[in-house]
Amino acid sequence: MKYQVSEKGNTATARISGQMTFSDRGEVSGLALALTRGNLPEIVVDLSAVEYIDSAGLGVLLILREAAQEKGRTITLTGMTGSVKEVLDLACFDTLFTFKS
Amino acid sequence: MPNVRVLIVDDEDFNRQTLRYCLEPEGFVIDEAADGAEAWAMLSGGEAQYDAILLDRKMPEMDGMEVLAKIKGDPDLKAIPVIMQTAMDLEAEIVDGIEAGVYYYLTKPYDVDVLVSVVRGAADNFARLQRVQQELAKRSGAILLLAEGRFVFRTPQEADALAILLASGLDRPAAVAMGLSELMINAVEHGNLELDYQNKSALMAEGRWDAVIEGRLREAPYKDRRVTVDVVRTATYTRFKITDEGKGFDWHAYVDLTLERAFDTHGRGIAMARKMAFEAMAYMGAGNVVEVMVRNKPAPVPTGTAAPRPAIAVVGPVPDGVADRLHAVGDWRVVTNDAAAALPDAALTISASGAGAVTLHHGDSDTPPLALPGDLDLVEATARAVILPASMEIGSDADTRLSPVLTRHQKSLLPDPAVLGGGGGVRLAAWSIACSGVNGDIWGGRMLADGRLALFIADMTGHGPVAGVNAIRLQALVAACDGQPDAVLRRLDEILKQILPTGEYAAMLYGVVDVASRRFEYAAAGVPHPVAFPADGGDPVPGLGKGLPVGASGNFPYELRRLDIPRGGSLVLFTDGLFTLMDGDAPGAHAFERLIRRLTDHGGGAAQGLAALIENRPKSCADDVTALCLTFAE
Repeated sequence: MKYQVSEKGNTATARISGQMTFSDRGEVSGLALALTRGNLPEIVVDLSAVEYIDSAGLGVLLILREAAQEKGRTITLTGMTGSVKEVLDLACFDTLFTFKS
Repeated sequence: MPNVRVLIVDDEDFNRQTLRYCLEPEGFVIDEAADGAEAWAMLSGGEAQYDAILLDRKMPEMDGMEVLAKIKGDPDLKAIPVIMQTAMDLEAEIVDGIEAGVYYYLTKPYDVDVLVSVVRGAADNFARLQRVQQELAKRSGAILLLAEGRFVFRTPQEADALAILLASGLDRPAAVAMGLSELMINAVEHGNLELDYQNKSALMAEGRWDAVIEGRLREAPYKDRRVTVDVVRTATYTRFKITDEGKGFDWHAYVDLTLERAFDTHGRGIAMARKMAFEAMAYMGAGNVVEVMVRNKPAPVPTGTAAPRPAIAVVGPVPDGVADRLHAVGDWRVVTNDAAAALPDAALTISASGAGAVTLHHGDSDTPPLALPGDLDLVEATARAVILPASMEIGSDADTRLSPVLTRHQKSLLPDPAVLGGGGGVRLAAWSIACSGVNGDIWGGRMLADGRLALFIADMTGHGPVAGVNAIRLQALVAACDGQPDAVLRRLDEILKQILPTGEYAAMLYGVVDVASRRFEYAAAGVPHPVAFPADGGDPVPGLGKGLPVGASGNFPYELRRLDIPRGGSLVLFTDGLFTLMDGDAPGAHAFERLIRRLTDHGGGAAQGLAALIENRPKSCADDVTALCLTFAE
């Protein structure tokens, strides 16, 4: 997993690319900090460049969600396609996150 | 330029001569190698110290990429900048080279000025790195005592000195110092002094760059502008926020090492810094603010009096040695007997439960205790996974020492499929395979009082010993839950949310089979759909595996679902690891359809299809795999 965080207006956006798997747990605290540091009210996680996500990769999203909630913010997931979207749908992640296509 | 020594590696005499003629008059000392093997012998022999390597990509014997890999794999050589020269300008090859650590890509035929400026830039950069390393070696790292603070500076020289100070004591300090210095000097030159990259190339070529910087530093409005660096340190990361007073710049083109920029002599520093030095980097606003995160050096385990320490309570006549083992698990206060019984806030309570066995109870959760044989390794492994999972990461000493006993215990918990299916007009086949070490998947089953057969499969997040202990805990929790499948999952969701850290959960399916009516009632939490296969090879009927994984929310409304299995047919349940046994597909609808077709096309029935797929699996698999197949009588 690689990521790049940018801030524009009210929104901090993380663009994630590559595979989101078990080996990415180490990255998540850094990403969470980068996303919440600017005190911007909106957080968007762009998954359009994610090729593959497994159950531990979904765990990464849950940790981001908790970090956002602690600061009173919600996360919108965007850009899901193909098997990434199917995995998120199977796990009902639309009940925890706002999905935006 | 004192003795900058360059190694030229090219299989063509003519090319080596040309390079020598271009570089020698500029003061470089040149050595030559006619192929990769000779170059490697010269480099690894250590007779000469090189400041840059010019490497031809296409050579017989050992080609340029191979030599590059060897250089980058050698701790003494890896920092030497490698300039790859190639006649081809194939995009993919250039990207490959940059990924593999090439400093610069030079395509033939090249301009002599560009060649000289690239080699000089590479050698300067290398000299700077060595200087930074020497400077860092003199630092104490006392700057780490600064938890939060602001530095203000004005000149490139100050930026350089500050970068070294800030990087000392961090993980990979030389790379961080180079990266910070790059960003901080940018903030002066391109931020406050408003000089752009195009100017820089031209002024550098004319040898006027330093003079222009000096001039602007004395002129209004530039002379009053400052750069601030804000430092915030947390337990694992240090964040640096660098802010200049210039107009900003369009940073988008500079943060990735793009193909276009691979051929620039300037403007690559930001992308190189990001790639080499930082965990994360973000430009903000107009581009005059950039923030980076760097990992702190892992701290030595504190000894002595770190207070308040969490406590483990040991109650009653537990086997000898348990308390000693728990003392070894991090820095815990282990309290025994009467004091333990009265301890209100123990993170973990271990009690004797007769016949040498123990029960573990986790924190203040109102969950059923976990019963374990009184094996010291098993108690330690479980305690670690519950209260200090980081101490049992895959590959750690604790993993190596304790995983065998966990694996044995886990296997002992699985029911015998022959006994479980036998006698009721059904046959059960089961597979559960760990991809490495301890299994993060588990399955189970039991006959209920009303004669129905309860079955579950579960896939804990991740792999390895912590996932394995969590699977064992889940198994015990499932055994203690009664009721309809949807109610069971709701209860498990509630409990796991309390006892597992965020990001850890179980994708699972729990269901009950009425053998006489061949009806399967189940609830699912994010697993592949269960499937009913007819006996005659007809179309399989999938159920629905959709649901929030158990433990993710604590209050998800799981629903009760039904799947009817034809006479003589089979019910197949599996975890998504099964997809990884087929090549090429990410989990999803396409992989699911392929898998089902494969089991149908096997012809011998779903159980034989599964057996063939699992028994012929690749030697290493990427995920733990569990599959159950319940076949009904004709």
